[in-house]
Amino acid sequence: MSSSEPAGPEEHTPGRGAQTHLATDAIAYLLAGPFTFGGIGFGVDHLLGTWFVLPLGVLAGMALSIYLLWLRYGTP
Amino acid sequence: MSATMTAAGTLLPMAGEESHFPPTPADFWQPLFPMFSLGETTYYFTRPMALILISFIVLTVWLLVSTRRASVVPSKGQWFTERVYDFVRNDIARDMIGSRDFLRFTPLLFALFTFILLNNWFGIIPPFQNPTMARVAFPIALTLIVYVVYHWIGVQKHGLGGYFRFMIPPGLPSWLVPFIFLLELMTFFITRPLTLALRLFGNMFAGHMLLVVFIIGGWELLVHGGALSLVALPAWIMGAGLTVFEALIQFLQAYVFVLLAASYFGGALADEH
Repeated sequence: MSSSEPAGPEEHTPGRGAQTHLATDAIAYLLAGPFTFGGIGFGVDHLLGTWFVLPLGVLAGMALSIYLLWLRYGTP
Repeated sequence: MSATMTAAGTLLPMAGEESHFPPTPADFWQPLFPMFSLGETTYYFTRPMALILISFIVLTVWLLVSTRRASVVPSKGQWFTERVYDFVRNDIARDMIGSRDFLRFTPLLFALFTFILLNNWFGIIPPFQNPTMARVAFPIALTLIVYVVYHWIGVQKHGLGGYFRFMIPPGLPSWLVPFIFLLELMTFFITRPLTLALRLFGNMFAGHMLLVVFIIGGWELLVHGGALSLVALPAWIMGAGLTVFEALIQFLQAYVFVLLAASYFGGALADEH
């Protein structure tokens, strides 16, 4: 990548965006899980004529979201 | 769409009596004059559109005037502009994107920050008093710019396949990878831009609604309240206090929008794990 900063003794400091350890972005992850797997559950319910896959999907999605947050933000 | 576009009648809530209390989302639809018609639909030039044009002119004039005779020893105006620019450059762009790549994103982030901040503050500056971002189309348009940029630079840096591989965080058990991949895909492509746009919209919309409740509500109490008309004073004191609070929120939301945009850029440019 090009850089128009004058070449100096300073070393490259990586941005904190790389780890995206921003609490404000957590909501995007928390929404993604239930919506994705709830949506899949809704589709499965629609196809099979059942009712219980949607709530299972929402719960599994929540669990995955929280796991992913822990993995991204909580581990050293 | 055509119903709300043509229905100037939504401005008149109750039959006979002209009342704006309690405020409704329809109060945010403020057409100034019709522009053109396409089929059944008439398109209006609205108050937020006027405000966004004013903000564009104000920002352009401010930046041109304060930097035209830029010197090493800055004048007061140039000093202020440099403070704002340094804030975006150092505390947002360099912090989030890293010292290698941040410079080429600084103009975009600076433009976004000043643009959103002024438009938010229009919510409490008389005679504008309408936050442009309380109409959801404006935050969506700004989010689209950010959305295109962070996917573009991500694909540019990692390649198309590499970009998708890069989304999966390291240290996953292999049977979880497809699920997490789906989740990350959803986050990157849908919920991130959704939350980015709706956070700004929702804060501006609700904040403005709150101010309207206290200030118009105080007026309604004074005029129609009878014995309750004394309560108008505390309502207005509350309104004034919340206006100050709202100024802070409006700054904070402009800051958060740009901070998150920068963190998405930084995330897309990060080296492989």
